[in-house]
Amino acid sequence: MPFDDLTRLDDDALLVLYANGDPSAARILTGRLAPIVQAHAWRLLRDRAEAEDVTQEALLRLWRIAPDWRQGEAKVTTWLYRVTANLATDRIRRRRGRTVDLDTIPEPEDDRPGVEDRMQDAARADALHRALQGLPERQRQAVVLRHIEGLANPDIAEIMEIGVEAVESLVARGKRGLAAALTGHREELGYQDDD
Amino acid sequence: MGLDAFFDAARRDTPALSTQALDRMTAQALAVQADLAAPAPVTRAARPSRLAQLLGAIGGWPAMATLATAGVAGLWIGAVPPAGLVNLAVSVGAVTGVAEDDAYLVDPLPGYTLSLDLSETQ
Repeated sequence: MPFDDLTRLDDDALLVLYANGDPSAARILTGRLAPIVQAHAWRLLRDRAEAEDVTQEALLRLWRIAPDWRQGEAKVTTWLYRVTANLATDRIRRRRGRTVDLDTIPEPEDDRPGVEDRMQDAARADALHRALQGLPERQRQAVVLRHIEGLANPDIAEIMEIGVEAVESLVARGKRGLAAALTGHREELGYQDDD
Repeated sequence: MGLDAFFDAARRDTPALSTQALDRMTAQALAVQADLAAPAPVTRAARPSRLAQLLGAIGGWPAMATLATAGVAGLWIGAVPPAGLVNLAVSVGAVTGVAEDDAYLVDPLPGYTLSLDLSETQ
């Protein structure tokens, strides 16, 4: 099958082709899934090297189970979100006790237009990340999947292997925790005019 | 309540996966795929030795130890029978004053005695 036709196949079908030894399927799946996994890992870890490591490990696990993958039971991305979150959680647990002084991290030099906006985004994202780290693991995962990844509650329920109502509860409690943690940062992050 | 602005910032502040990292991951995918396609090496189980086969037939080393113990005990009792066993044998009539009448005696070569008798009569 030509490469262009393969790109129209869904992840499930491509994974079957991958297991059958089609190298085009390997390339298309990696190109399609790696950015999704890396973005999710980054949003949970906010560390580029760690996010890449997690992405590589999550994909490696996917390739290894490819021959046993049961089509139609779960979406490939659902499975990957779950594995990525578990790998990231392990790393967050290992990080506990070792603190990183953000002031010691050099700011990237960038004089392109819009750099100020990007720096403000980075500052807000950093503040959000620190607030997320203060939440219980399940609340953090639910909030990131719902409000940063933009997934629907039923999809999140499948990823977290819980009911939709439990997802709603975790997200609501997580957002309350975040609001409380970020209250003190809003002015310094340029939100004095909000509400 | 303003949280959405933080979420939007986090979404925008996500670095793209580098080309080098993507190439590395693609190479890994192809390498694993090649491994999956390679036939698994056929490993034939080594044929067990005769001793192992014997042990397997009788139930392993514990069974062999029990068998050896029983054999030695039988030999010992036969060579030096305990007094109690002899008295018991006499009391049940298994042992008499005449050796040929002893019930426990078994003639392993009755034909040999018979042939001797026949040769004497000729």
